[in-house]
Amino acid sequence: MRVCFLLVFTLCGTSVGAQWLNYPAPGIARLRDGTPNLSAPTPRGANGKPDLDGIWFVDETPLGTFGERPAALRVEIKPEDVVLTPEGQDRQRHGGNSRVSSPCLPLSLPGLSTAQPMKIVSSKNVVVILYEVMTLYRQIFMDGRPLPKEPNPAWMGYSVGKWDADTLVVDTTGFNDQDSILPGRRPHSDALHIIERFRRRDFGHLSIQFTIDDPKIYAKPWTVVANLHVTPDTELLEYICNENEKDVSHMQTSGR
Amino acid sequence: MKGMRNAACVVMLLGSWAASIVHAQWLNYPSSGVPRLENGRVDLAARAPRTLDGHPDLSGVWHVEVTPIEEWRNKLGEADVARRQAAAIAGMGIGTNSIYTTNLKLDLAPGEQRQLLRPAAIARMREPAATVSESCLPLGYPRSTLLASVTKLIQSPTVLVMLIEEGNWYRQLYLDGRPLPNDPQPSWLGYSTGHWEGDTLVVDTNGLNDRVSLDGVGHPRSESMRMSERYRRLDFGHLAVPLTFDDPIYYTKPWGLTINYVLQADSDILEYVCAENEKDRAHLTR
Repeated sequence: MRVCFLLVFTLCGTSVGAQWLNYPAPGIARLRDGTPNLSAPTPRGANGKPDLDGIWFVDETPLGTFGERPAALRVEIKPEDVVLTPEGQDRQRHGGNSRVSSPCLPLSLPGLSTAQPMKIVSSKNVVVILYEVMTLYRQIFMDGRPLPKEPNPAWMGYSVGKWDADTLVVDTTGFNDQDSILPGRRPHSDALHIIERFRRRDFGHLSIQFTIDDPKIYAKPWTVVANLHVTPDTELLEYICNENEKDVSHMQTSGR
Repeated sequence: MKGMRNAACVVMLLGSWAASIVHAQWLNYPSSGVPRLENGRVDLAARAPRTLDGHPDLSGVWHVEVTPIEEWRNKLGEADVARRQAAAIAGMGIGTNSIYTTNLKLDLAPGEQRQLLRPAAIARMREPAATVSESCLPLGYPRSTLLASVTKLIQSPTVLVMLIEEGNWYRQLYLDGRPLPNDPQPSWLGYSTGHWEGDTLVVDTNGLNDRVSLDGVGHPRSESMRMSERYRRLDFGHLAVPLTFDDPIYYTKPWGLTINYVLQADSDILEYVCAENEKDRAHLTR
């Protein structure tokens, strides 16, 4: 809880003098009055596929209200879709997976994509997603490589993407079981497989459908959809979770 | 005690790092579309690739040129090297990283190094070093790229993204023509813009905070520092980056050095979550 407050303060503190928050970026479709035309056609890359690049933020969570809505990770989960296995029930009873963001450990999907703005940057072989949350990033490999077998479990997992018509489909496996699915602190195991379907329907709007498939914890896969809008003319802020850390001065020597 | 804690922290970090290496994936995945020799190895001397817009493509996984142990002995002396080797942790010490991590001014004569320092810098260097990496805070650029870890560049027409393995941070170097911000909020990784001069990407950075030193001997940086990087991909496998630090608060004139990087083909960056396996919290008092 304390760390949650710390995060909110850090966020507010950073906003005050930060730069490039109001810089009109080039290459943005605009209306006559200069505002971005969010319903302009979907831009396309050199390969003819939709260009997903941009800074995206989840709908209906105005920046600046983060402190009032700390749980506003704006994806709707239908409780009837989420059916726990016996192992899942057991893990849920024991508090889910306990090691979430308080000690500055990474946030997990899908909340990671909706808590704060994220930026998508595409290059030839990889799509990188830069998250404002804790300055985290993910790489999505587009060079046709298969998902690794028996990977070292990782917070962000291992992601590969391919195009299904105009939808980017991303498969991610190789998660550790240290964190929880956000929102809701729902448990997951290292068997978690997340499928994301990115669809940019016009210039200003991106939807991501997340399918959560974890046969150890859930009796069947379940899905949530996040709707995001482009936020041009602004930028991600640097977010160093351990900055302004106040705990070290309270550490004991423990006899060493 | 502090030394103990620092050492323990390094051991902890090394432990998680070594653990990652063993099972990590895509460390030996052959990349597609790269020039290869007859034996299948990547041809590091092939021509530098270019993007669709004709500029050199700096994308790739890069490791700083490792300084041979002989060169450490020549530059620092046998006693210093022996002391460092005794204190080093296997896999992270001399022979795995760049000698410039100890001192970015190493190639200057000692007198010249001293002449560059203003009194404020000397005073700052006498203060105890801030516990930056022990607190899981960024070591900054270029320091975090001089260690036994890699840096990945991903180039798009409007931004060059730098993924830094050490600490798991990223920098964005904007290529869309925007000016550097005036009076920015000081930050760990700064604000960076780049433009092409022929085949060289010239990057300017401002807005750095003063909470981390540039190297092991503690050369400080102030919030007024400007850093210039000149990226030149010499061939497929080699990247040279002359750096200039211009910081009138701490230095009498701009100074710099060139850092060379070697491509780590068919490999990738590892996840590095500094706060993982954290053991300090149990020792907190109320």
